[in-house]
Amino acid sequence: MKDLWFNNTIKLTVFFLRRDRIKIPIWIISISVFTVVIAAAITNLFGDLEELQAIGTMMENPAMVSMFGPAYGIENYHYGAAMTNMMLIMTAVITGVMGIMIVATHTRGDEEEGRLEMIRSLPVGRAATLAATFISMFLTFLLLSLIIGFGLFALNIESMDFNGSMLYGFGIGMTGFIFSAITAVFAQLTQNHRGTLAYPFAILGIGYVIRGIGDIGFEPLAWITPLKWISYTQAFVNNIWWPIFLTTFVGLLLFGLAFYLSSLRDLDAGFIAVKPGKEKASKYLNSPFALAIKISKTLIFGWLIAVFILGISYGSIFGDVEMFLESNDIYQQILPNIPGVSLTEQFLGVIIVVCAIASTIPGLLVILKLNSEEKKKRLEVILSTETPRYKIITHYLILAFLLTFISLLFTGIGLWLAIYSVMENPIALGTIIQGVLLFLPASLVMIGLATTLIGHLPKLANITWYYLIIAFFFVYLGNLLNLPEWIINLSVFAYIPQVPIESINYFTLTVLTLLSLSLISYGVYGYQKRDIQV
Amino acid sequence: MSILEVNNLEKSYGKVKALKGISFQVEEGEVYGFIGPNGAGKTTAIRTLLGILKADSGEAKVFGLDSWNDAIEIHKRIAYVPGEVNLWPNLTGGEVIDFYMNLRNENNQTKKNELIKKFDLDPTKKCRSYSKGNRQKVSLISALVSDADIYILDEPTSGLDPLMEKTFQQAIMDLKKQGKSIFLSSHILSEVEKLCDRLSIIREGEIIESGSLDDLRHLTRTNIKLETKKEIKGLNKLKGVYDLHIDNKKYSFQIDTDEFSKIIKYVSEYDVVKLESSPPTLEELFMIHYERKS
Repeated sequence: MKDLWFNNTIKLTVFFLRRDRIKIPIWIISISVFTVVIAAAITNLFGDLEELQAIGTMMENPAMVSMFGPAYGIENYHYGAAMTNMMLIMTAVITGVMGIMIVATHTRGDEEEGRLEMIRSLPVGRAATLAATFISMFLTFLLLSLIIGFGLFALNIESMDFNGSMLYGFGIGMTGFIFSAITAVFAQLTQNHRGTLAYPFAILGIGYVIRGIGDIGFEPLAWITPLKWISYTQAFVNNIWWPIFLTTFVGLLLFGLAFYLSSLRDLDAGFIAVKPGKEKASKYLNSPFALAIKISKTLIFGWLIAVFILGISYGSIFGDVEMFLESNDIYQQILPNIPGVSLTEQFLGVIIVVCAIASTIPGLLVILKLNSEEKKKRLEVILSTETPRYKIITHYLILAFLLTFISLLFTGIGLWLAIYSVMENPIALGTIIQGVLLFLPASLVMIGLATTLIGHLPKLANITWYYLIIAFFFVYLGNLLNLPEWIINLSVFAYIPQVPIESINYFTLTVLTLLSLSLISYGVYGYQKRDIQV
Repeated sequence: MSILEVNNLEKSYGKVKALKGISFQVEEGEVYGFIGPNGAGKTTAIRTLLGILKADSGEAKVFGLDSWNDAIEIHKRIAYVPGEVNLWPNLTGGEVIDFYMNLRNENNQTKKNELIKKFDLDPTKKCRSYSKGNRQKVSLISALVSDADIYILDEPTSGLDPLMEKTFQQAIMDLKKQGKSIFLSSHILSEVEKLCDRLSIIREGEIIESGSLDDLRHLTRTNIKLETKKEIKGLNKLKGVYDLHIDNKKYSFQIDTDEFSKIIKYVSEYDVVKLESSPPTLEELFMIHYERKS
């Protein structure tokens, strides 16, 4: 009986780790090095404990709590407390992404591609591939937890003791584990690789936003996501371990559920039904533009809703921010007093950057889709018709541009709607929309970068995502960590003035626009000259 | 004991009945053909035999063992080539073959290298860069290298060039000489005709005909071409003659196979100059069966 379900699990586990012999180490090294470097940097950045205390006060502000989680240990804010406060949730989110991506490929990804069928015809247990996934992911995240734990402890920073370091490490590692488990469940429920990625990503992303709202308003709400659980460990401050056990335990339960569901279903089947589609193409399906819209429909609607909700979520915290700032004397002192600009408007700047970067994603997804269409050889037939290449890429570019513009607008409107309903003295719609749309040139540079890569180095086109993530971190954490100006300026988003605090610099905006146009043109030029990927 | 035995096997996907109670047996040492168009239920039947899908009702037995409950025991003695071969893009073909061998606890390097040479595969290339035919070769080599008792092959030659098809056919003949059984699902009928001892035709989840090629031919008509000195009279009135074309004492027509001797007797009186009789090709058989039933 054991054979029937688990035969050859060990060999499959070895094979799993062998297939990812590069991917998993890169993830582990990136996350742990990132963590340790930031921890080491924090001591240099805030050499002065008084300065650190001031940062601590700032972290108590609802806007910050919604993004970074509650600030624990403010009475005696030390490096360890600051580290957990600023980095734990963000790093956990990234680790969640790691878990989702790896598991989706190995479960439904393999099944959809027909690789599982072959494996199942061999003397391999029915649940052995899932068991191999479970073992591999558990080991991977255990290793990540230990590396981060020992890495932080090895820094020998006074406020980062062994217990806290380990707790921090396991907080990150077990978030990865629980999201692997969530993905394993969705690999059974949905019938394709895309769904197996989409649902867990939605749970991760929506969970992050809901935690933000819950943490400053109705706290029980925040507990629906594991991100809240691990932030409650209060590593380096109160060192509470039970959320780690809870996370691990729920992760194990979810893997159990995945095993159960997989025993119920047929190979290639799912539980979420797939509807039959249209028999005939609409008469509007007559150009690459129409095709691009058609194949990106879910992406377009999904992301428009997402950025709108993001705007509303962040807008909804402004009532608390307003109250907090009015009642907090220290704040009145730290923030520069700019005549005519309210304190809440100063926070608007930070929030808008986050919303703007999120609004850049859908446009990038569209233009990069052109590249994946080519890789999957679906473009060949279209290219064999009389449709010229520049027309195809231009159509995708137009869609990407429109989508970016509308996303920015949507997120701005979402922000304003919420701000309007929660604030006593709401910020004007014009100010918000202007602030958001000013990011259009920066978003276009991202699209330009992707286009240039697609045109000249199509294999490397996905680098754009890494740049976006890095750009996000520099802007998001740059000021908090006192990073040097030139590092922050590596991010194209740093050049956009945060109205209304900063004044609009038309010269910079023009330069960015010209840069984006050149990148796009250069990309389109290359796209017409190069070989199609085979 | 039959190597493969399927009795009244049924399988549905939701409301769609993919298999409506099919039955057939494959005996030891024979090459069995399984033919039918796309969507007829070939792959579903094979996956059920492999214990990858669970049957709704009926029996699927391999080596007398239940295909679902004894899947592991069965899998130790079979080799399979799936209909659509997809491999891991970042592994080489050689790595994939080794991995499959490893899961089967096999390690016959000589045989492997021989096959790689025979099929002219470059095992050092990453699978992402393989063409469809090359992926198929990886899959075929993985199956042929193993010392199985039955080889289950789903469209094994799709994507192969004619030379490789020949190599494949040779390999199947060799296996047959060693007394191995082969279950070959295909819609390349000339291949089935060349290799198979017996076959089944499946259509919309039902087996519409089973037997040896000769059996199937008996059920159908034979093509006759005839030239005589004297003009034949009343040929069109004979029982069992169909589709008669006459062109100046040259006759071509089809006859019911059971009426063969009567008809030959009849025409022999007209001074036969030339007589050609050809059994229908499998393709013709297939078409006849399909048209008759639909």
